[in-house]
Amino acid sequence: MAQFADRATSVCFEGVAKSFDGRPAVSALDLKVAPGELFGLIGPNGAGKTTTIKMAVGLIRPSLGRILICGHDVQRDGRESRRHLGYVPDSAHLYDRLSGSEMLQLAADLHGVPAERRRQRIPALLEAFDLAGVEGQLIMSYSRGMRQKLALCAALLHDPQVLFLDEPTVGLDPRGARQLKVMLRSLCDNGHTVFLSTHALEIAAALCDRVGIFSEGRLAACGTVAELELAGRRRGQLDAGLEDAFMAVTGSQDGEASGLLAALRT
Amino acid sequence: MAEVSWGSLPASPRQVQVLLVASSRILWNAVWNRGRTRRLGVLAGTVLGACLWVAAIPLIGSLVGGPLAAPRAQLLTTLIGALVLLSGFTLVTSVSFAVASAYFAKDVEWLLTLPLSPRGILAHRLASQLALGISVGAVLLGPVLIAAGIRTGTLALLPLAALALVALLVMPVSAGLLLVVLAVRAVPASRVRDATAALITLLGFSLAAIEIAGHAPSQGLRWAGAINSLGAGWLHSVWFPPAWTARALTDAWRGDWLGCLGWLLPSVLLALAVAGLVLRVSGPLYREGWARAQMAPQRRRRRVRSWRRIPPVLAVLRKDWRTLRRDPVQLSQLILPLALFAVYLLAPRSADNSQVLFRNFPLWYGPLTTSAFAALFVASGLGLRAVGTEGRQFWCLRSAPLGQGQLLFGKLALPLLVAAGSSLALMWAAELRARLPLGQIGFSTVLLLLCVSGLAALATGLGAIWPRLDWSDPRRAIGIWLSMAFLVVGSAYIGVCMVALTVPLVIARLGTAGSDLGSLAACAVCAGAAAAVSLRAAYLRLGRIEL
Repeated sequence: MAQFADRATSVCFEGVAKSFDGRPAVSALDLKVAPGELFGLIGPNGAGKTTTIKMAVGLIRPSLGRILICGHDVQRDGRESRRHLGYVPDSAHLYDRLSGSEMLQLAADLHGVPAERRRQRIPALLEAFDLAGVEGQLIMSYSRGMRQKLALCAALLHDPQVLFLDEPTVGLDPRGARQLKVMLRSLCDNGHTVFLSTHALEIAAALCDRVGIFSEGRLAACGTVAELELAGRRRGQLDAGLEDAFMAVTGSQDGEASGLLAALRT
Repeated sequence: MAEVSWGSLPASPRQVQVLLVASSRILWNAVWNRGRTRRLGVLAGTVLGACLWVAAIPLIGSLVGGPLAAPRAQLLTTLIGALVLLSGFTLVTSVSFAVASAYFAKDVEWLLTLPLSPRGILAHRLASQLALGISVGAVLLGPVLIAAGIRTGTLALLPLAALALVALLVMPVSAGLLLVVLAVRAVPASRVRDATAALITLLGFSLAAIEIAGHAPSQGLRWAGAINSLGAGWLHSVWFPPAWTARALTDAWRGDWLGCLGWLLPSVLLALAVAGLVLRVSGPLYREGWARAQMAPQRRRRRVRSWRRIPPVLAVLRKDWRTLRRDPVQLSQLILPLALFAVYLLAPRSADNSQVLFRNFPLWYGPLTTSAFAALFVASGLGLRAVGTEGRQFWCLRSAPLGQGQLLFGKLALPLLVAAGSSLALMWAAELRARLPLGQIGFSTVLLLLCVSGLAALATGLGAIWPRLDWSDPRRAIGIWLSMAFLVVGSAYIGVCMVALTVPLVIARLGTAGSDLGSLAACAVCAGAAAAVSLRAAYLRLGRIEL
């Protein structure tokens, strides 16, 4: 287990904000995620989920505030913070003219994975994600799901303390999605932290220890699934689930669905 | 239920019109609706370009005066030769354009799911290519046509002359599209694209090599003679379309508008017939070919040879090298200038030329200068694109624990090695041919290595400052303006290096000792300064790039 498992937080956002050309994408985000926690970020399109994750992995600079990964400031100590994280974007663009195994070798070299460790880990990950046997082919011949799985293998190769996943189940077949869920749960049980964004509320409900609901760049609600459902019930819905809580928090109403149906009928 | 045959759907002009309007809007948004700064830049560029375009007209007028005054038969021969070359060039480039736009454009998949005829999509691609060709032609050939019109007092017939040229170019463009559609039926589209790059490279090399090998300082360009002999052969026949266009242009410049119309009409009719026939034939084949291209991925089996751990800088170098050697398009672009420089250095006449140009310099000076310029093109092809070729995959490196310095040096390694290796090979070949003593070869080797190191660093740094990371085609990883700017900056850098290392040699000739060391120091200072400035700027810029 990684050396930071005993610390109180693996991921810490302190007053983080980001704006693009004056338009706020994320505002005043304060959030802490503990070691061993599986945290899910849900929200409508354009709510700021991907921007939040990109800021955490150092692909985008926050306009305000700071982000700590295992105690390391992403901006000031980016290299050290990136040692402790793995990242899979929503659409994994990989090097088309490398083979799957060459891509994993590259990831292992960039993270400084020792030879003996990669000898054990690469075949195991390829086997776990059903990529064994195709790792010699160039990535240009891979399907979207295979690319996504390969990106997951690359992100897990160095055994990161924190794993950031942006829409991880998009493109995966049901078997791959199931394997991923089992693996994420197992990672968290071993003290690793998983921070994911998803549109699939059932995944968030079934998998996440805590869920944050993003709306218009703000963390509008955050808590366990049970707490969010309770909040939904307090708003008057007796059998409120996570979907109802999501609709209530993001301001989406059934009236919008009626409007959509009416538009489809015209 | 009856099965729908997509290929048999009519290509309604309305569909093509809708697609063309959408393309125009995309172009307009890209040029004009991307912020105030961009708009000002476009305005300034347009005004400057228009001024240069207008200023070129009188200059070209003085150049074309002689040929226009020549007897009609001679003018016709030259024109036919030039138009045959133009048609051939258009055919080759249209193949490349057709394969990219019909099979690799981002919108093709979506368009094929719509109730559009494949013929309509191809008609749109054909029209887009013609519009692009006409725009490029207006910029390059417009001043020639206007200057000729002014010179002969027949400016009123300019539209007829322009139409004759457009009608001629419709034919190779259509033929290129048909060739691609037929080829993709037989082999995957990616292979056709790679083969196209090799074809263009081979053609460019052959034409340029002939010119370089036969060129001597006292002679004019061999092209003029070659064009005349091309136009005088069987292509002169009235049954060949370029000859019709040439006759239409000649008649227009003689003020004979009836004669011009007489040659123009069959050209236009033939162009329409060829385009229509190509669309009719290729429409049904296109959809099947596209589907095959999707289902026929490139399969290659490779085994992991070693689990050995290597430093991140070397890992980036190895990744770039693997990517380069598996990409025929990039390889072609890299090999072409090197092959041309090899022809230039090793051609029988080049030794004489070199002796004329560098007779007051040491014997290694000529090969060193030429090899440094060969390295300039390698640096432009690899170094300038080093960061840009990461494109949308850049997240792989940026989310890894890799420092900006490591990333920069990893990216510098490949252009440096290839530029140094290839330019050294060229220089050694020329020096051994000139039987230079080993001491001089060694000295010039160190000088070239210093000069090329600075050049590669300059290219990598500049490319990292302004990379394009949103491309879908690696050839677009760097903007055309940056490429041109680098050729100017890089040439200036080589010039400064060559002058700086010459100064100690001149001083030595006046009686002071230590010329060799002085030259080395001067070259090292130039290389070090260029590398330090560009890499530092790139280092700072890399830290600010957001993905």
